[in-house]
Amino acid sequence: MTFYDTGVPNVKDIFASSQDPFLKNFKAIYDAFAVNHIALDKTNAGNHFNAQMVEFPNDAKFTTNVGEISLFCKNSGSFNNMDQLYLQYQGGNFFPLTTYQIYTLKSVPDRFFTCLPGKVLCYFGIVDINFAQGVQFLTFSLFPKVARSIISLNFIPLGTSTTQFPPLTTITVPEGGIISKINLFPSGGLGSSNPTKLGYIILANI
Amino acid sequence: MPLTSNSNIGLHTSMNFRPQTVDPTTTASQVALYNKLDSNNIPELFFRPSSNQTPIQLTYPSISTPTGAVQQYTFCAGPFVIYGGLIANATNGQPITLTPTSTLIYVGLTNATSIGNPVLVRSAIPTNISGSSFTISWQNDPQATLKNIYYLAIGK
Repeated sequence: MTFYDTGVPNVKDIFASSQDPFLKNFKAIYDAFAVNHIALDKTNAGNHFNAQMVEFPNDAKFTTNVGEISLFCKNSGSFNNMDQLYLQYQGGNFFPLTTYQIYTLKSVPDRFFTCLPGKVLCYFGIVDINFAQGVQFLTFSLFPKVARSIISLNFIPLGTSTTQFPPLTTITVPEGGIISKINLFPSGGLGSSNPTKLGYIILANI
Repeated sequence: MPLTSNSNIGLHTSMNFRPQTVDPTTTASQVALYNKLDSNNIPELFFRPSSNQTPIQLTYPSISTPTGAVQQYTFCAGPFVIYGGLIANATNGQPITLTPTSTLIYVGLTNATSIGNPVLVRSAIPTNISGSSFTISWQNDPQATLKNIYYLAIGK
């Protein structure tokens, strides 16, 4: 990388003798522009190959004017100090657009999660349940354990029986500010000797 | 990053998108991310796949996801508005109107209140879905006139 010299040109420069620093500065501009972009001397010059984003300082702000919308990268702090992509509306309100690849999911088949804008995690999938004789409730564990608040939840039997009702759900008391468990109580048709599968979807603030 | 920076010269600190009046063209080896004003003159991020395929709006004009709020909404590409929340002490036949306004294309309700012994969790059903409104309904249930109902809805 050629480094740009802000002292070039100088009003007292004699072009014949300052060609070299001039050329070096043009080379520096060319090199810088070529980062993330198709170079100035290539077809489609100016198009982006990609857009690598450098972490924006947490205490810094920039302006998104009326009619504009902005993306930037910021350390998300509570998310294990990882950088995420943020969206800033016109006027300056911003929020995390991604919360992706922060957590790992236990290797449990048919259980998934994804993220939605605004620090919302969506847990979804299928879970096997069996309220054996004498079992008052089953505990459904949320992975990853990052839910601070449950926005909405739904568990629905996926069996073939038409007499099965959804389980009663109760959210356990948060531990350290994190809700990690939901208790499922047997309901009509979900009692003992009726193992079944439940489809579920849970929205949570993280 | 500025040309005089010690590192990361040429990388982006932020990307400010100016509104485009027309969708950019894309060749077979290009995609485009750009800003276009929606019908209310709100800037939105759009993605256009290769070969000038149909653009899709990635963002929505607003979002409300304060931790612990009983009614929230976020969005996903389309755009679709995703509503979630809890209606405490709902009554049978109670109308619900979600904000922001959209046309609901999915509503799911979960009854978080049980009755009887053994426990029986009666289903709550969304009826009269129209615009961003629906009605919480369940079968006659003399043992429980009030229920806590979770909802998850998607609007377009």
